[in-house]
Amino acid sequence: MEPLVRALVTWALEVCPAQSGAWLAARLEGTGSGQVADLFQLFSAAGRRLGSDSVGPAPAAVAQSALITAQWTREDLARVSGLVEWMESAEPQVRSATLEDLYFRGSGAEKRAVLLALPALGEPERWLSLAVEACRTNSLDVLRAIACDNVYPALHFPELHMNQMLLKVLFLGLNVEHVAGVAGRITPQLLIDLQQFRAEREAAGRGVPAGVDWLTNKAKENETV
Amino acid sequence: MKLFDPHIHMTSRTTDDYEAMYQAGIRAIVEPAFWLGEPRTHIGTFEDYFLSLIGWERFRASQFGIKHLCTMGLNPKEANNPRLAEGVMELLPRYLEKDGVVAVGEIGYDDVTATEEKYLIAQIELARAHALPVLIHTPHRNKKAGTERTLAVIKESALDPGLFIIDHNNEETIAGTLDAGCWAGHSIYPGTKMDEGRMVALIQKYGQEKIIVNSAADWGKSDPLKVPKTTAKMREMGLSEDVIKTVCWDNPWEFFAQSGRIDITSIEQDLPIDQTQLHADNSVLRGQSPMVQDGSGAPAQP
Repeated sequence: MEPLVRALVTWALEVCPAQSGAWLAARLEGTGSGQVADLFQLFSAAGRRLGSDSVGPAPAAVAQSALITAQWTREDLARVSGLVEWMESAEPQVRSATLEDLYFRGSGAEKRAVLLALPALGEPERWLSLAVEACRTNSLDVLRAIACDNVYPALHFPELHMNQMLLKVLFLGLNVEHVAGVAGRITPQLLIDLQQFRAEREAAGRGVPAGVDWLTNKAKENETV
Repeated sequence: MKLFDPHIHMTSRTTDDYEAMYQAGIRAIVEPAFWLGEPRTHIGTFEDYFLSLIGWERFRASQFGIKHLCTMGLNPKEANNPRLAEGVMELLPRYLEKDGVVAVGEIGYDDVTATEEKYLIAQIELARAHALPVLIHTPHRNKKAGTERTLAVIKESALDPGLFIIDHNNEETIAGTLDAGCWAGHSIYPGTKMDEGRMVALIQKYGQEKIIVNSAADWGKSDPLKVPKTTAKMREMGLSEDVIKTVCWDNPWEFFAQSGRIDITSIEQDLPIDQTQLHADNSVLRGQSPMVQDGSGAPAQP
């Protein structure tokens, strides 16, 4: 087992409520041995079994990984742990189908966990179409899971999709400063998009989100550097 | 007084209904999975319906301050469709585990066929496997015989009868339902099933224990305010506030809490309303100002 996977599983069991410890241990044992039924059960039932308390500070092996866990809950952590553990042993040809199954047949919380896990799954090109599709939601929780505190978009999105995601973050009032790696993805085209967005808002007599100025200023800082 | 409508098909209703229900005191509902009027032709439409019950409809209810729970099951009408029934049975184990699913249902008899019975028994076994209570639909035709046959199946299952609501009861079926140890649901409908006055008379005769009242409102001529209208009739006919609260709030919570999936301590707190939230590209608003309310009982802020 990869050190990150081991650390996630150990952490999930540590923060699990006592009454659900045996249940979670059994599911994670199943996902570790490639049992997809345990993965499906873990995803469906983690919310009511484990609750949405914050998980607190991450152990070192997780904190040093690509995962940003500051906003994670117990149910997030358990689902992500089971998913990355299952993926480790799964045949390559079933990985994409299973991930899409979990996403499209999942509740909002289940979709969120799939997106949180993406930076830890390896083979990032496999998950691009799903990650782009996730940005078409207007469910704030789902959008937040892919767009904020998640390194996947900045590392792997083509410019068109990155810019669309940033505009959506602004449009729906999320904090663009939480988009991981955004400073490195500011392009001339994004600045044109932001200008047009600003002009449209002003023409309609609506306020311009603060993130527009923040991104524009960040672009100037980049030029200075 | 806060009210609970434990059987209503909100998928078929409008946002005006949600607003009126909130104004009338309804703070919680259970939406049982059922048929949609037009018979389904694909298993995928069943699955999308299940997803909508735990997704869009729950979100829509929350926008009006109403807690939305649901039940999942293969309904008796479509149990007779062999092209769909087995596929739904394969879906159910996964969907019964989802958050906010608090019973198997509504299941039971419609035409009282052998196929309906096969899936009734199979779904009672699913309830046992997933530790869930069961919401039973009783037939509109041949109700008394269908209800008696349902009770016999429940007895045969050896599952605790207290885990079953027998729904759509009337004067002819209530005694048998209560004698069997099941909960007795009553659907108050305009013109058919049960009306407010007859319902109060049943409570006066049988007491309030294990008695449940719902609107069963759907896409037909029905009324999503039948629970509050029944409470008004209860007051008019002299029932105490304690009895009204027991029937229209405490009893349905007690029944569905047997799922182990409801935090009873949280239900006294009103849901906050935030209509600035969106769900999957959709808002319940169409250009109106969003209402935001914090759940403390303070007036809504547009």
